[in-house]
Amino acid sequence: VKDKILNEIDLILENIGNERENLIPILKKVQTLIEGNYIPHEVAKHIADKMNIPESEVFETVSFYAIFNDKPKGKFMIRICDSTVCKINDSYSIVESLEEVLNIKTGEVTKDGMFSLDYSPCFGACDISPAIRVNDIVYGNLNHEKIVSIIERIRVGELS
Amino acid sequence: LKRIANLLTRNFNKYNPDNFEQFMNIDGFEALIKSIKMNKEFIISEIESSGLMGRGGAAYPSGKKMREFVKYKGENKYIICNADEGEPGTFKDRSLLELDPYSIIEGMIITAFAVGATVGYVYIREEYSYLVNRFDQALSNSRKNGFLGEKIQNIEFNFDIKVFIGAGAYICGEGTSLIESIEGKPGRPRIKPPNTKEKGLFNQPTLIYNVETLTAIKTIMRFGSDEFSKYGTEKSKGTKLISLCGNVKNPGTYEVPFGITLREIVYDLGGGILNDKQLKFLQIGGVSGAIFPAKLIDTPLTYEDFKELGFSIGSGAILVADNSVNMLDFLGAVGAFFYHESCGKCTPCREGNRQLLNIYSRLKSGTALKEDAMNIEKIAKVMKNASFCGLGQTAPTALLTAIDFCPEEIFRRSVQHE
Repeated sequence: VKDKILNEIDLILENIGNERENLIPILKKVQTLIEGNYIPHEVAKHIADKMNIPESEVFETVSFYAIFNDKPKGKFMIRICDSTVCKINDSYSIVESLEEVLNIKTGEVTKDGMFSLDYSPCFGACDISPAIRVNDIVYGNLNHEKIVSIIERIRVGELS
Repeated sequence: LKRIANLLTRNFNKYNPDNFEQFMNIDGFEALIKSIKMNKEFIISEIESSGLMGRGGAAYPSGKKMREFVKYKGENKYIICNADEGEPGTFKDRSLLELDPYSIIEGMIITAFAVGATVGYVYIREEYSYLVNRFDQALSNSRKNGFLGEKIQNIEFNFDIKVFIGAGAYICGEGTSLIESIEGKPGRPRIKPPNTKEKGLFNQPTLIYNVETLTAIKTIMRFGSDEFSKYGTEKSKGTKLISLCGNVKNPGTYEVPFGITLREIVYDLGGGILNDKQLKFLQIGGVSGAIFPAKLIDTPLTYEDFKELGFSIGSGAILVADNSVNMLDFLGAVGAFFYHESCGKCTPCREGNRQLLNIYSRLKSGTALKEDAMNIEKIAKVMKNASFCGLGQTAPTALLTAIDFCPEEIFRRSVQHE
């Protein structure tokens, strides 16, 4: 991790305030700074030192919450709902389509670092099931054609 | 009986939620302005006599909760709006956040006034981050126009609301876990007592209401408890927001009066089963809810009718499953969810969910042992009775109710391996 990033992390700590209760918002902000959307070990240690708390507490929080990654993810994190409603609306074929279009398996990251594909618990889009999230944005009522088009539009920069 | 009610959802699509003036024109914080001219006792007794029960799932009488909370003293008194709508199959709070954020804020301000709270938190689940800008905007408009902050409407009443965005954890919908999360820690439940009303956030008295409950509080104060309790039945007053989803033609959020039957919900509101297949079962209250076989379709949606069956309405999620859904696959999906979301604090939940998944996979592959059929119920009952919090206690609900109505489908292949 470059010094420049560590300096930016210090700025975040200063802005949000390094009180114990701010750990979650701090980690969220920091994760967006790091290529691969994750909290590397070194960064977790840096935050722990600056907040004067044990490193284990930072790691515990990172590993507890779904939003934090301890391994690199794609620039576009695709999360497929694997809860009951999407499953009975055939999310299985959505998984197949995504794996085919991205040429990776669920749990992997594309070679160019653009996309990662993971399962996610229900994110409350059951009325437009089957659904996926790409970073914060939800796409629903999916089929193979829609998936091809979403991925293509992200690749050419039409969707962010 | 009116099929669709228009009480809590009255403002839906009537104003642009990004436009404060439009909200003021159609609604105008009328309930709030009226409430702060009343004495606090009046508000509490209105909520009590409305018969409102907590809409997050626990169905605790909301007025009683308010009255109990008043007596606790602290440096700060907090109220929290629980918008951590994590129950799979549930999205009605999302509709309220999306379409009528001001009514949630108004419900919080009225509650704060009645109970003497100074700070409010809205805990919005991470998955709804895309709704946070709108909500923040609504808060800042309310502040600018004297509805939040110091000397609200020029009386001696100070109250402000902060937004806390979650980080992705089902367990944080449980009150004490939610509080741990706001404090920056992993969301693991606390032991009770003390109740959060006595010692909650930062060890101060804390009152937690669900998004829909707060909207109902605002609605009751606007139209009166009599108007609210015109809807529903003797024991289940008012209306309920339901999240209808699954193999159904018209999924969505609906506001229904209590007393409507499940048949009316699925076939009249929902338009029936997708591709005109046969109904196999409903799961009500999300993945932690009971499985209703198709033969119970004429059950009225009321607390009392559900209680008689040993079930609960929970969050109001209604999942519709057609006859192509395999029960073991379905239970496997439910089990995988709880295995993933168990916080790991207590053994019955952490290990129980793991063992259930193992048994499901053996039942599915036809390699189950005779004792699996006996153990599965035993494990489920230990989880139900001995888990530390509601997550583990309700994780086996789907299994236990499914065993009751279709044991042959679950255990069909296990006998071969005696």
